[in-house]
Amino acid sequence: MKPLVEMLVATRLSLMTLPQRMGSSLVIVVCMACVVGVLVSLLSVTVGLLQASEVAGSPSRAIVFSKDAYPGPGGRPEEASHISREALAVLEGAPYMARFADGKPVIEAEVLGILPPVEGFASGSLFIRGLGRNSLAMRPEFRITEGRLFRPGMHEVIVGRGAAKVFGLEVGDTIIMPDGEWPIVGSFSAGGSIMEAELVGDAPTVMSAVMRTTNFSSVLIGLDSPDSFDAFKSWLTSNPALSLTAERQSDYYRRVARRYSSFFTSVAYLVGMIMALGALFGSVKILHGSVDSRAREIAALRAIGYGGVAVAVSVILEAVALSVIGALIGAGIARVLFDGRWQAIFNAVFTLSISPQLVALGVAWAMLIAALGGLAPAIRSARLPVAEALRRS
Amino acid sequence: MKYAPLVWSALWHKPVEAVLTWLTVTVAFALFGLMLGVNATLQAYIDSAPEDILSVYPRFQSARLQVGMREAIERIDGVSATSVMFILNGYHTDPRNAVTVITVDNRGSEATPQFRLQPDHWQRLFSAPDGLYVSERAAARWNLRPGDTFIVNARRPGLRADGTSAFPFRVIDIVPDVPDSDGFLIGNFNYIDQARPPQSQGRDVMFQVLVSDASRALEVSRQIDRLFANSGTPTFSISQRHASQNMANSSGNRALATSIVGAAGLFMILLLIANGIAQSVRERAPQLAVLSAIGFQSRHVMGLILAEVAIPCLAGAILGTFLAWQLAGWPLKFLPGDFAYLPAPTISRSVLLWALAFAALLAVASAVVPLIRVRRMSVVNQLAGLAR
Repeated sequence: MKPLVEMLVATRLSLMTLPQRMGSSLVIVVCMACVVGVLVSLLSVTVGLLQASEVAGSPSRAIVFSKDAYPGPGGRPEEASHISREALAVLEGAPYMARFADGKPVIEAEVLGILPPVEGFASGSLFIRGLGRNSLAMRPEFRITEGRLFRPGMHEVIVGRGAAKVFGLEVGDTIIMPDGEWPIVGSFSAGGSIMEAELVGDAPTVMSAVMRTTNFSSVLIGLDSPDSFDAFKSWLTSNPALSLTAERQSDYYRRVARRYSSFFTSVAYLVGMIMALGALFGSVKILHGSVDSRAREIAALRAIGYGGVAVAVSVILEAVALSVIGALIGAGIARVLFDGRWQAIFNAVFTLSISPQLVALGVAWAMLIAALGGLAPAIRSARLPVAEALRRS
Repeated sequence: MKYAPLVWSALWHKPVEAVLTWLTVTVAFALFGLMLGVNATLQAYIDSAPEDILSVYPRFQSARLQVGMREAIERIDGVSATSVMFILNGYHTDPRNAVTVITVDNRGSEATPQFRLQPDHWQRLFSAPDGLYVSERAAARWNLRPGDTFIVNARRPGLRADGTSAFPFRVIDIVPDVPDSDGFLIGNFNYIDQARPPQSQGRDVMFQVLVSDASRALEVSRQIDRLFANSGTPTFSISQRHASQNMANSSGNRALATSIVGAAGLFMILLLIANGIAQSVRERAPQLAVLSAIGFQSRHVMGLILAEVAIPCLAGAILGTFLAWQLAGWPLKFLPGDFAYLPAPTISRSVLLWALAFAALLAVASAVVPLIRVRRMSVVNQLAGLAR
């Protein structure tokens, strides 16, 4: 019990004398705010992208596409996939499918195309998805937020929240298609998923517009249970009449997102590591100076019987306390500036996300830097020669 | 030079702190150099792309452009030359070894000046059906020499009429690289086209269009797209400069991101150095007073302090830039394969010069307060304190 009390008293004393070292303490706080603010801001890209992909997929839905689907730059396998109407007819009789109340199988063929920029040299491309009758019933997260749903057979589309924000599209605007201009009749949300980056219309109408007259991009299938996926895939891939493969929808979107997120994660950690190293050296320097300026106070504690460990721990705890304050400030600023902002990266549109877990990661990162940075000065404080330190003026 | 010992002793006034300051500055400039390098490299990548060359792609994936469209494109006012291209995406020996061969038809010499091939190069290419020009970087990567055979397996199924996927090429020569490119391979369009099933021959191509006046590139691209807008093969035309710009910006607002990160790093060291020098000047005030008392002018004392700050800053900037050069290619390993042709950041001489300029600025900014303090310092009071 005694060492713990000593530690608490030494730490309290150390924190009480902080105002006397206001300048150097503030430097630690601001440095950590910079390190954590930058790290959290960069990681918000990865978190936002993964969250948007997570919401888009469900483990109880399977997405079927052709085995030879090779997407173009920034594309998805769905986009390069071709599923014929004959193959769709075979799929409609597949086992392990969930059923609607009227007994019909939960299955829908969809088409995904990519639209180039509206005008000559503008940047960014836009996905257009054609949905069938059952598609919306299979996506309970889908909501019309403005205007109305497209009508089957009509040349009209609705726009996702993300696409509207990033590409400046509004209800009432028109989209240039090969067969003329299509009006945007509504906008939708889809629970924050990456589908919100798309334009959506009626599948057969979109198919003819993007010149996919004979085949679909993918088929979405509702499984009777998430556990049925392996059996369904085995049935599908062993069927000699079909050259198709399937992936759990949740896995599919996760895989698509990870193609890009690993790059941003590596950038975030490279930058975070470099900044952390800078902050580490800075903290060691400041704490080293702090131990020097507190030499008499530390020696006095030691002289009245406080152990070296208690003093050393107090130095580390002081660094950790300052760093946590800095980390919270940095994460707070990053959250105010970036959380919820729409971002278009590699043809994916999503909102940046600074989640509580990300803030916790930032705080843990700062605590680790502080603990490492405080180690050498802490050892030095514990080994301070008492008599010599007391004689210092 | 006569002040060098004084500066040296000031630098090593507290050796541990001095080393830590220098390390902090080095690390911060490594980050700063990386950020500058990323920006400079991507800007060079954009600037090196020609503005007067348009690429004409199918507007929709299912629209298959045909060789016959070239004549209509050539009739458009402002078009100097048009070349047919087919991009062979494949791999060499292992599917992980991605390789792209740009194949051009016999009008390539007019419409693809960006490769800087001479007329006799083109003549040799079109007289050898399986010929291949390999740029120096590509040759180094694939270990190729003139006369070597290089087999590219097409990723797209059914590309060859005989059901196989291998296209053997014979390397004609190694040619110089295009600045800021990652290397290229150029083959003969007819070689690929004639190997395809009859119903696919002359289809799935793209065009490269040379515009007589770069300032008319946008106008010509719109004319091309308008020409085919209501056909079965609508096009999407874009100048190579703008395509590079789109590609470089596809990973978000890089200028904003790199500026924020670089600025955060510099702000950190500004605080650390300012705090360090303020403390050092406070502790050495009596010493500085002695220097004034024995005849050093105020500007000399201030110069000593400035040198004490500037030396670790400048040394850190040099070493940090070197570190940035070492780290530059690392994140690209994680770039998705289809963006792998984005250039790795290069840390050029201009990056070093910028780093040195910012280091000098940083030294001045962090020394401002201590310098003012020294200027206002009462020599008598400091000496009296020393005497006590």
